[in-house]
Amino acid sequence: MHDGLGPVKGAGTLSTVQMTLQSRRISPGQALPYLLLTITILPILAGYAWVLVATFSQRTNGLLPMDAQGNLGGLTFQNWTFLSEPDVWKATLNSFGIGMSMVVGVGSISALAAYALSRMNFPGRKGFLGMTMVLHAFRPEMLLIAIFQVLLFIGGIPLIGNLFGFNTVGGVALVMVTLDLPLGIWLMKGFFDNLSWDMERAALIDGASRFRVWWEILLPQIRPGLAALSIFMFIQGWNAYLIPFTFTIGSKVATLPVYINSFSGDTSLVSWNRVAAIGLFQLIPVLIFFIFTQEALLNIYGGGSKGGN
Amino acid sequence: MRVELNDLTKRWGNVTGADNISLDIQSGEFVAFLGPSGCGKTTTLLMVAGIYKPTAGEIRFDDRVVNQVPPKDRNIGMVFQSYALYPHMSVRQNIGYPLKLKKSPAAEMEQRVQRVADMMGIGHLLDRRPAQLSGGQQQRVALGRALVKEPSLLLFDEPLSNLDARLRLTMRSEIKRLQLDLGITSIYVTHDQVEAMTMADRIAVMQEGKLQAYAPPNELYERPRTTFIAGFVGNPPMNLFDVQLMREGDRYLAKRQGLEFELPPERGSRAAAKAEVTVGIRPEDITLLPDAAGSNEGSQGEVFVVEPLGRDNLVDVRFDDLHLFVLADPRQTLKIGDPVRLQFDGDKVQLFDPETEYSLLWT
Amino acid sequence: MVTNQTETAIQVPRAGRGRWLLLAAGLLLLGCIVLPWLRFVIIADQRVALSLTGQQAATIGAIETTDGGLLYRSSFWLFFAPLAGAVGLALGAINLLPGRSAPWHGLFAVLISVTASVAVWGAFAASQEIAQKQKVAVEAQLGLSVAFMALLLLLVGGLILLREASGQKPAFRAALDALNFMAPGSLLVIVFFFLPAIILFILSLTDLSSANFSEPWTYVGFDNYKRMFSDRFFPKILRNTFQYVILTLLFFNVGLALLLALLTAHVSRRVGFFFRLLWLLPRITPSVVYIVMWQRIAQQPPYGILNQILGLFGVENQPYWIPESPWVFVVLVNGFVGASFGMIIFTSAIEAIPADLIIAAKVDGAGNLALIRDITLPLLRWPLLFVVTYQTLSLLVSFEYILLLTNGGPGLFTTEVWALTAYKRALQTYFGSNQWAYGAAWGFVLVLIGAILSVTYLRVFRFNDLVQEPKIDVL
Repeated sequence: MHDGLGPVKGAGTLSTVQMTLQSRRISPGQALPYLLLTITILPILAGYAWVLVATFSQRTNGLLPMDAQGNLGGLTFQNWTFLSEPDVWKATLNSFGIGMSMVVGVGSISALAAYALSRMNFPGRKGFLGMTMVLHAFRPEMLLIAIFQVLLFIGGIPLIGNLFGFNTVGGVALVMVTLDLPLGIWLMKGFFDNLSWDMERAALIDGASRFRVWWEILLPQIRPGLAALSIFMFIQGWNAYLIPFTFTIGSKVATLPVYINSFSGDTSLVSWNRVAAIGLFQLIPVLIFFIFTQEALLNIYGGGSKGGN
Repeated sequence: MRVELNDLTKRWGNVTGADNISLDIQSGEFVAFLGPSGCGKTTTLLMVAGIYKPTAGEIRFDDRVVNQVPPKDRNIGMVFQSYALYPHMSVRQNIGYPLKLKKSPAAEMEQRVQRVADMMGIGHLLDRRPAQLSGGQQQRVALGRALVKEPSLLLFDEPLSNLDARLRLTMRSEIKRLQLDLGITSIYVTHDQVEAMTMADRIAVMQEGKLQAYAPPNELYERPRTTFIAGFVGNPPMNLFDVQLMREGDRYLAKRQGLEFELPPERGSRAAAKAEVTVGIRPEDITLLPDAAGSNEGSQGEVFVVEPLGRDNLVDVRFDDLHLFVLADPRQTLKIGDPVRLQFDGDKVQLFDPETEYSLLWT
Repeated sequence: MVTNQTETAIQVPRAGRGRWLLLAAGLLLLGCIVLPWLRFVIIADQRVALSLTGQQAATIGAIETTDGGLLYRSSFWLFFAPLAGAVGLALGAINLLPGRSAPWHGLFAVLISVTASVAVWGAFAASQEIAQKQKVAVEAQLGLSVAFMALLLLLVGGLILLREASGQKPAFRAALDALNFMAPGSLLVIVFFFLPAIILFILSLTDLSSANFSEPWTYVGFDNYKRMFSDRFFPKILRNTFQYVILTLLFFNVGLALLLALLTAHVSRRVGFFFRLLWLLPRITPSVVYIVMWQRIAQQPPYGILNQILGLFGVENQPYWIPESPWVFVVLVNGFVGASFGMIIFTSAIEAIPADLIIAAKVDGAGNLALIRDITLPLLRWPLLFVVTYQTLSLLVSFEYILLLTNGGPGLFTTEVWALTAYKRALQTYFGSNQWAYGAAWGFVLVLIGAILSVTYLRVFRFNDLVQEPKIDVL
């Protein structure tokens, strides 16, 4: 991970210095950062706590589980009955498909393009790089209206239209992949920039083509970076709401977030606990990834200096 | 294979990496490119390798212009300072990679890898990863990888700089021996003049992208053609300083504040036209006489610093604002501030034109 | 000496895979097209008979005239496919001969493939219309689909041939080689970035909406823009947008982010890491779930978490907070996601400050606050500028959380920002119709702002200086 990301190298210098220079007594001034940090994060913790509690109870008052009569208790698994509905699994499959498309699509396409941009000398290279930067800052949300027309148009092309047109998982995946390409290319370029030139030269002299150098020599070395990008992209695809919601109609192609949102409309009839359960269902893979790849996730932002929102 | 560079030039915008380099390398010859960092020696080497495209000029391998030939078709082997081993491959895969790319049969590949590895003395390490090897072993693997495809030209880019001093010594002789045995034409880039002097048949000295000299080591040492070569080749470096040249009858006297010595007529006469010349004299060609000897021979100075080198003492002798380095016998006891006299070996004195920095003795 | 072999390998352009692809594409095209094509022509000829045997007697007349035309059109278009197939075969065959390949062969294959693709697509569109009504053209459609794939094959073959045959021109070949790596990305970027940007502009000059989707829509000039600027709610939306961007940026994306970065740098390393990690949670939480969490926090008693806590302090009968103070929540919800971005950038910058500098300041007697004021903050100037510019742009066009949280409400346009308006006008059923063109006008103005901002920000960050030169010339 650290190969690719410059700024992380000196990690912890400041706090290490702090630790060595400070004496052991705890003054109010030292407790203050901890206190502030804890207070600011509370809403997030409360939100997660509610999801956990609500999932397994009939009703909730605040963070307390309640039964139907309004007494404390009422723990139940009935919120999880949605698991027997085929629609959930279809949505899960769709979300998974989009997540995997993001991993494969953004991973491979941006690794290819980033390699050329980082390490090949060809006319127009700077122009391409500048364009990537502009695209990267150029937010996709505004283009949805026009992308909608493009997808309708693609829908009319033989064969391809059935796979990647409007209202197909393929179409949504393609749009999502493209919209995250500038980010992917920029991050991957950062990883490639830091690889040894001598190694690539050695491989060229050994008789490899540029493509083989990319595939056999360089890609194995940016594997950590590629993995981090993949995880990030999977989460992006898995969580995707706006684009699937905009470009699909009906449950056949709905993704999990779209499915959840169809329950949590603005009516009071909504079973919040059920929504929480499906929400947790969707959160589980994300949290698992999160726990196992925390450092990578923090680094991918720090290293690329880029990101959404 | 014979290699010929004709007016080879590399530019990036306004930056010139190599400027009109012309030289030829005989088949089987071992040539060193010597110069300080940033002098264009690696740039030239990479053009020979095909990694950089020359801006102008041509590269010939056995009379064939190879400017447009990609590196993989040049049949060269290259060893890098950073070793450039593929970290995710075992030693066996590293050495075998050129053969794999040539689609050699597995059995032949195995056999050749083993042979080269045995030759390099790393036959027992074939299944290790580069990270599990010492620096010297890694350099052997890199050498093996360069040799396995039986190249007709071997390129070395400061291959020993990352090794410790002792290992550098053994690897130096090993590489030289190997090159002699295999008879492969070799180009060796280095900033270490000892390496160049000890290994190369001929040395190309480069400075700021230009070729300064291209000659056998002893010629460079004894007949430096510019002050740059004089100062760069040899360790400890040659003393270089400006003097006034006086002619008194047949005698040529070099004078400078606090310093005066005579030049032999055959050398002095070459500089007769100049009033001021740059004198070069190597520390080993100066004899240190204790002042007590009381003779008028030589000039008087004072000991500024003594650096014991073991076999010799390197003595910094000060004459007003001029510092001269002298190699002295360690048995000679010297203290800082001692007055001493110096005697120059006139036959070893080099004379340079202070303006052009070219030698007045050799062209 | 090996040099002789390499010489032959270099001088003669190699036509390897390219020609085989061309041959294969040619055969496939001829094979797939001829049969359905014949069938199509036969159907077209028999259209009278077809319409006579049709089941829906009442509509026979209509079907006959329209479908007859369509069928003829299709069969005309279809002439191009076998033509392309024949060309592909011929080019492939020529390149089988030694020493007879040239770059223009590849170029020609590419051109013919593109034209034929357009033609086949036209035929497909026609056949699709027929298929919807009569289901006679399904097998033809299958043939056309395969033909389309074959044409793609022809395209790829042509490109490869082009590359293979251009061996003698290094600069040209270099560009092509780099293009190989860039092609997939470039294609997607063109289709989903550039094309939409152009379409967006064109759309904004028409009156396209779901009301007249199937009819020809007309060019209306800048009417949509005039309408936008004279909209009754335009000032309100503009004000909302500024309010949203400035408040979120100031308090969260920069303010809180900086605070968090400083705080996590001044606690122990593990704790700092842990808190930064927690702050990433909102970003990786699915937006839908994230909004549900906030809704539950703000609910009225007895459901809401906030109100439950207030209840502990005796504050009773509080409302559902989101409609009560929607702006607080719009800023909070976006800010909690946005803060982590700046936090991580600032943290990297703080950690990059040399330890020597800190030690020196400490030795000189600087306290924590002095340290932050005199050392850390001045060094954070560039990251700060970066976060401000980048996040301004991001906030300006982001609306997903607002869409989910308030959908611009409560009431009329209370929290509706520019980007949300564009989205809702165009893609949400808004008073029963999607006003694509009008929404496009709103959107295009934002795209323009985005483009201008991003170009400025390339200038500010001296992009050209950041690009390192490749240290390998050959390809």
